[in-house]
This record gives sequence, C-alpha cells and structure tokens, in this order.
Amino acid sequence: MILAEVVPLSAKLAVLMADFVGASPIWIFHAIGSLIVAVGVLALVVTPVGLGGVYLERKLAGRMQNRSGPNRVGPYGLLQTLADGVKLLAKEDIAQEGADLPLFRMAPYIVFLAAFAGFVVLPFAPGVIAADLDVGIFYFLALIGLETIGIVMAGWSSNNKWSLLGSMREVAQVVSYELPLGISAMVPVIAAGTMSVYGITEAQSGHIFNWFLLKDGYWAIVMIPSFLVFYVSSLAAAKRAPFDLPEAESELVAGFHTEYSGMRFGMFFLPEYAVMLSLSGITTALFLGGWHDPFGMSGEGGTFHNVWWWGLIWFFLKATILFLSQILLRWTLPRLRVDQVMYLCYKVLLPISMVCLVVAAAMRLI
Amino acid sequence: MLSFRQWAGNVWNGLKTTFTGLSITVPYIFRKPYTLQYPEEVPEIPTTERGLHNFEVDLCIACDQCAKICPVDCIAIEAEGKGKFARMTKFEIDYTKCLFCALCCEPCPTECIHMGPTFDLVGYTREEVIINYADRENPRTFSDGEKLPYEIVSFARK
Repeated sequence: MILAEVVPLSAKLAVLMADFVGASPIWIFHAIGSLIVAVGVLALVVTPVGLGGVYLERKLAGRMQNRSGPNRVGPYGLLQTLADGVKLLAKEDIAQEGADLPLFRMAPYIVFLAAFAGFVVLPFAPGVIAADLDVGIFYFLALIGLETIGIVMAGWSSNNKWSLLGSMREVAQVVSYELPLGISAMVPVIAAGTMSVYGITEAQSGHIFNWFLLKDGYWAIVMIPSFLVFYVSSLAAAKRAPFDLPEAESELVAGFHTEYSGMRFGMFFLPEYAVMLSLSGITTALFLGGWHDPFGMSGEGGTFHNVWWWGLIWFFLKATILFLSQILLRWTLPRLRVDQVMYLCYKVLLPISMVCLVVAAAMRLI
Repeated sequence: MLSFRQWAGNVWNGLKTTFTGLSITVPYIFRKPYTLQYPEEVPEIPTTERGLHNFEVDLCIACDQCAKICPVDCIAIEAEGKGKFARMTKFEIDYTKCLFCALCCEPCPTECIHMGPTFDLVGYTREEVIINYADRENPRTFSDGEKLPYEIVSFARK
C-alpha cells in the first residue's frame, strides 16, 4: 500500500514555522506542528462536538418522548450543556469514606485519556491526522480496552456495591464485545492490506463503490455483515443502550460512577460522547470511505482531489449520521440482560465476524 | 439446541425488529411536543374553574355569611360601623386553608364573592398567601382576573 503524496497539515505548519524562525532542527517544528494539529482537533472539533452531542442527545430524547428537551438556556437551549459544565466545575469534589483514594482519583483521568487519545489516529481529511500510525486500528482497539481499566478502577475503589457490580458487568461485556469488534475490523484491514487508518481510507478513494461497504459490488457480501457487527460492537464499546449495563441508571444507580461528583463525574460523562464520536469516526474510516464523497470528486483527478476542507465536510457528515443513529437506537431499544449480551456477542456477532474474516481472506487470495 | 435455520431466523428477527422499533420512535421527533411551557403559556381555564376568589369590595355588606358557612374557617371579616354605614376594613382569605369548595359564594346576599379563574398563587412565606381583599391602599381589582394583588408573587401572567 503506497500512500498518495499528500503533505500532512502538520508538515506544512512545520515548514512555515521553520521559515519564520530560521536555524533549528526541522524535527522540532514537525513535532510542534503535529501537536498543533492534535490540540486543534481536540479544541476545535472534539470538545464542541462532545458538548453538542450531549445537547443533541437530550433534545432528541425529549422529542422522541413528546417532550421539548432543553430549551431554557440560550436560544433553543443551546447553551444548556455549557451551563451544566460550569455547574460541574463549581461543585464540591467528594470522595466518600472507605474509598480507595488514589484509584478513585485516578480513574476519571484514565477514562478521559483513553477516550481522547483515540482521536490521534482518526483521519479527518487528506493530510489532517495527528499521527498516522502503522498499527492505527490496533492502537485504537487497545485504547478502547484501556478505558475499561479506568472503569474497573472507578467501580472497585468506590466502596459501593452498585459501582462494583457495574464495573464487573463492564468487564464481562468487554470480554465479549472486543472479540467481534477486533475481528470485524480486520476485514477492511484485509481488503486494504494495511492497519494504518489513513492507509485504509486512502484505499477507498473514489466514488461510493470504492468504499469498503460496497467495494466493487461483490465485497459487500462480507463487508455489510462485518459493518453491522462492528457497529453493534461499537455500541457496546461506547456503553450505549441497549448495552448500557455498566451504567444502568434504573438498576445500578449509574453503576461505576455512582459515587463521583463534580468534574470527576464530568470526566466520565464527556468521554462517553467523545468515544461515541471516535467510534463513529473509525467506522466511517473503515467502512464508509472516510473523507471520500460518494461522487468520486475527492478521488484521483476529481475536482476536490486532496482538498482538506472538502474531506472534513464528508467525514463529519458520515460520522454525524452514525452518531445520530446511536442516539436514536438508545432511545428506541430496551436494555439487554447480561446473559443476552453474552449470547449476542459470543453466539451471534463472533461467528458472523469470523466467517466474514475467513471469506474476506479467501477473496483477497483469489 | 437451535438449528442453524432457527439461529439465522433469530438474527434476522433481531435486525428486523430494531428497524420496526425505529420506525415507531423516529416519527415522534417530528411531532410537536405536548409540553405546555407553563409560565409563558397559560393553560386554557374552563369557565367553571374554582380558582382564587373574585371579590367586589364595594358590594359587600359585611354580613359574615361566607365566613360562617366556610367549612375550614379561612375567611376573616372585620368592619367598622353598623348597618348602612358599615365599612369593610378586612376581608382576608387564608389560602393555606381554603379548599376551593365555593360554599362561600352560595349564601352571599349581594353576590359579591365568586370563584375566579386564577389557579396559581405563589409565596415565600405563609403570610404571603393570606390575601386581604379589602385593602383600600392596594386594591385588588378583578377585570377577568387580569390584575393580581400586590402581595402575590406569580409567574403566571407577566
């Protein structure tokens, strides 16, 4: 797999800075450029989308239940999430008696870190990626697993039976959903021949039948099932209904973050939406052609070939559609029982993804 | 033990019913919410609503009939002078007690007390919901329940 000759945004910034400052080793400017892209993506994209996602979720949930949703703070209640964030910042930081304090305090940071580090390998547009890792997907899946450790720490250190039950459920869930998640992610990897998320997106260059979901028509027989498996597993990975067992407001009183208050709670809450977005983004990159538009305008010789803002529009359009579908599913489906989650993951998703993997490997050979 | 056919049927059924569920919930997004934005929007009040009283102080002859019939003794009346020259000084209804039975309206010889349409009365203390209708400095006038007494903190009709 040869990557197209696209100068990354960070490299462009590095050259600009090097020209401006003069004598210094160029790698420093490359490092600073990557940092600027990463921080810029975090500050300009992820956090607003996280805040907007909370608003969108509450608004859609309200409308689906014939309520209005937030409509008091700002026009149409748009500033509600911001107001809630300020409230969380101002609240007292409580740790109850008997809590394992070092673990209790550290857990939110691990969850926060894992959720936001996933954005590093997301290719937002041609050249706009914080780090094009060769093992991009592996890295991403590892971070999803790392988040679980934070949640188990939170549940264990809270000294609360509900929290502990929640984190135990999370572990049981992780063990079952990670297999189909990883295996179904391998199907696009086989099709593209690389584990770099950027490379996989590059391999889908062109119109809609170059996307992996419908690649050349016949690839769809493995791609559509593995897309569905990946999507369902990603719902479980984001701890969204119908797989919100670790939280389970109605039975476990918010599960692993029962005992958290103030900004520590916020550090569990915001990453939930960040993970939703990053999983939508990775699904987009793996199956739905990443930044490529369906008309082939971003492909070789197209009008918008390697135009970064054109890619950004399409990437976020697709990711937002997936994000919305996650919200709609949450407010439509009831929560599954633990054994039903196990059944779904081990007996339905895992066999399907394995068959898809084998068939995809065979198709690649032929 | 499930046969493969049954298993595949279950999987298909799960997929299908998810979309059935979505087809039910998604149209609700485009419907108008039922919520009444209460402080801004006032609900429609039936004409027979038994809300806060409408009291016409000029008609009242301080006969004390309403206070006598009141089952919870929430009406307190004081007047100066006798007979024709009687002048109301106090006509207090304690809305912490009042049960809105409308019995006070029945015996009134001059029909000066009625049940009005106002249903919301808010106060920070109990004293704030005891209303003196005969306060001549701050008259409580009722033209279709438009004006509320000075002591009432109400968000209903701003």
